[in-house]
Amino acid sequence: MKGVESDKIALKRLKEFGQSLYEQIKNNKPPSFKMPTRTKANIDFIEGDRRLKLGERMSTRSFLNYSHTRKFMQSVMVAAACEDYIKSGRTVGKRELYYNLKHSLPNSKQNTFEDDTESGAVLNDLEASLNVLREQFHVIAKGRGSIYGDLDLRQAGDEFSCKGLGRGGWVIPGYTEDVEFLNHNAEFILAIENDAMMGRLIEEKVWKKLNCLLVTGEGMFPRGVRRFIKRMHEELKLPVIAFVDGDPWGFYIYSVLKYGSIQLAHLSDRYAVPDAKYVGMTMDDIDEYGLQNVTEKLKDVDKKKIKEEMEYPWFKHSKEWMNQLKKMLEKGVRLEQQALANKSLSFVAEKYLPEKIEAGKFLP
Amino acid sequence: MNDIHKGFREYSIAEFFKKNRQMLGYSGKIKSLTTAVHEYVTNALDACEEAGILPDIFVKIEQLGNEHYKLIVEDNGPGIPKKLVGKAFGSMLAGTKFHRFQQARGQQGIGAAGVVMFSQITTGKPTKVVTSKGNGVIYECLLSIDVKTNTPKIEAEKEYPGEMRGVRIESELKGVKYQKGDYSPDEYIRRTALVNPHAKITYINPNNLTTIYDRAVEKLPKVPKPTKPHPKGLTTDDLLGYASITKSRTVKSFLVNDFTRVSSAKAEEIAKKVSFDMNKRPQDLTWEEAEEIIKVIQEMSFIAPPTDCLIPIGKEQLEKAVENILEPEFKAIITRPPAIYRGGVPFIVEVALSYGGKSGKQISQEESKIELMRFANRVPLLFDAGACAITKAVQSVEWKRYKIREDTPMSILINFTSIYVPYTGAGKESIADEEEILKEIKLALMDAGRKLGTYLSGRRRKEEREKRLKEFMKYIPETAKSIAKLAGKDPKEIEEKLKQIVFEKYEETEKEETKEENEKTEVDEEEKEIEENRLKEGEEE
Repeated sequence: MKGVESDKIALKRLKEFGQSLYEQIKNNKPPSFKMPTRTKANIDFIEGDRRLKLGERMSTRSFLNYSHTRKFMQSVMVAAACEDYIKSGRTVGKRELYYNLKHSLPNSKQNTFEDDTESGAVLNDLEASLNVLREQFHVIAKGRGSIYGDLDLRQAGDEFSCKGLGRGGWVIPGYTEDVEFLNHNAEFILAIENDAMMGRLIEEKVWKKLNCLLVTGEGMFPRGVRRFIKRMHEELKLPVIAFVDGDPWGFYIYSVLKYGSIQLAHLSDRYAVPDAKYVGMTMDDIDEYGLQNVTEKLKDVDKKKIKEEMEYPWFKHSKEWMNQLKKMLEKGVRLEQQALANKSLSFVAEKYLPEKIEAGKFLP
Repeated sequence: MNDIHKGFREYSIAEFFKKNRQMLGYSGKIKSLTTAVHEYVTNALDACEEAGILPDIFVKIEQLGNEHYKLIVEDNGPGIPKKLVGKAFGSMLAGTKFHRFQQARGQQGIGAAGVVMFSQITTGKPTKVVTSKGNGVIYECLLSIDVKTNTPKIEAEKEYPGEMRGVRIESELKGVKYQKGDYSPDEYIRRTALVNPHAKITYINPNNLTTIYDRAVEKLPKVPKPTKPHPKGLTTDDLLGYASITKSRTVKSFLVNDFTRVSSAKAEEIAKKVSFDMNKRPQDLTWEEAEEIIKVIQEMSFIAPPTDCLIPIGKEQLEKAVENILEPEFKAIITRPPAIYRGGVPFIVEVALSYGGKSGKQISQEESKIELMRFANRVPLLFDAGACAITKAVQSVEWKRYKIREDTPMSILINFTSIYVPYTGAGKESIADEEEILKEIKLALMDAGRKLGTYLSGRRRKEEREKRLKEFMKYIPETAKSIAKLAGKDPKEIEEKLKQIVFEKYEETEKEETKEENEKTEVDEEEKEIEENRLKEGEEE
């Protein structure tokens, strides 16, 4: 989508939004607006479709609903600010948006926004309600996560390669729609949870050995990284293999990469990679590779998360995944990626990954 | 009470007093001072009321030295004839109220003569009495008690012209101590003023601080009528006791003459149901026969005891008194219908719950706690709270149910009115926990509690609504500005409109809640049950 056209659509939706609220007020009605309900209850998971899809349910945010009032004000404030950004041709970061709108409220110790999660949350709501991407609102997330491998790119007039960058990689920015793919030499994408593991794999030249692109999200994959993986997957036809911790949090990171998240279920089309596969860590690795001594005991929060995940349809309907979750509860342990260093530093690069990937030992 | 008479015969009056100090209210330095104040104030109030005069009482306590005070009490009553001064103040156990079956203040202590005696024992000095009938002549004398003969001794009599009506009495007391707090004369006077709204009381304490409790009602309370015991609830022991002192010649006539609501037809009915001849002498009744009579009485119906023998403070009077002294934000006053407890003694329970204003007991600047004020026949009970039925009844109520907590600024005033107050212990400062008494107090408290609870939850809701309204107002300007910008309209117009919408909605909820409140006539299950039992038990036509 070209910038000018995208701006036009965003501006039109914002204007309609404002006018609808104005009409309600003019007619003595408490102003409100609707948005798709983004809770687990309103998420459809269709096996064949293999991604999270938003149900039909809509939520209403009303100014006169006491528990909505603050968020209502924040929503219209963010909407009005975004209109400004688009009109003035500026793009702001998520945190900038927060500082831009934060000020004290009359006769109160409270501020319009107390932290950037508040502004971030209503931005998500506006995206869903108006069906406009935040990038179209000229708000971009801070870049987090990086890529390393034989891939040449162009962005903002610069051409560069994602290899030969020392120990690091290219930091993937929050907005990647304007990145052009030039050349690449890779057979798949390895999506890594932990950035220390990323460093290990760069040092072991795994990208070269296995002929892949290494991508990390430094924890949960941020929107920029997920969108970039999705684009590489679609435009370069590269399969995606996830390599995360063997615990409920790693499993969840993988599921978001594969199916999308509840919060952004309305955008699953843009982010989810339903074909993604899971190489590790698995509960079976413990016995397979003799890692019994380097497991960590599950904490209560871990157990709670496991039980929650057993109710998620995308895990619940998968025999393999339920098996993993059950085993984890039975053993009462989790297994981090870096536990592999117990064998030797190069074990992950020389034995674990090559063996598993070549044998196609994946979880779905 | 027989012990007192016996003791009186056997010892000198001074010895008797010393031996029975505890029982007479003179135990402890702090309590002794309060008892002395009680005796004189009670005397003064009674004198005025009996003469149909609205009381105007002056009380002053002066400190003369260490544990040495002078107590002065003056009233505007009819005054005392010269001849009767000695009898009125200088004769212990004279005009005793022990055998009167009538509601009266003076069931505690032994009256004004006790103070004269106490003063004499502790200081060796007589009490000064000044009185006038308002005829321009004032009579003055010094009064003491001859401890050997228990007769008044009058000295230094004077008569001189002057404007005065009433009695002024001055006694010096030693071995007593003034100390602020729950047991102080200050508190005694304050509470006396609360339950005697027809009286004006001016009080100067030893720190020379003057407090004036103004009259809240201009009407004198009715004078209680004497009455006889009611058959329902008499115990075997009671019946035998009364039988031993009656002048009636047969058991049948004894029942008719000495009890209320026992007609000759009722006595006949009893006679038919018992296995012995009721024409025998009452003094010859055996325990078994008395027991039989009691059993028969339990199965029969009698008209409820006459209630004109009981004069409660009254709802209106209490209301005004509470308003006058506690200046509450909310009050609930309950007067229970008359009930009887063991011995056929009628009684009435009155409860006032006072919330806010000067209610509650201040602990610090910020904190207060519930204050309990106990009264028996309008007399404040300051001591022995723990053993008292009133305290127990208060503790048995689930206050949480009424949104009342320990630190709620609330005063509970409970007045127990009866012709005979079943005191426990020698101090006569606490009421025995008879089941019927506990029940009546609890019912009154629950009734009043529910009223206050309704008020409190309404108030809380109102506060909550106002808080919300404020919140809405806080968010309106920014909301209006942003919508105006997006829609290309005037922010002022939107702001005004939004305020209007919020106000309208606010009024609507208020109406709804008021409606809900009115529809909600929730009666406590427990209370209902107690009430039902009461109806079942008291089927006396």
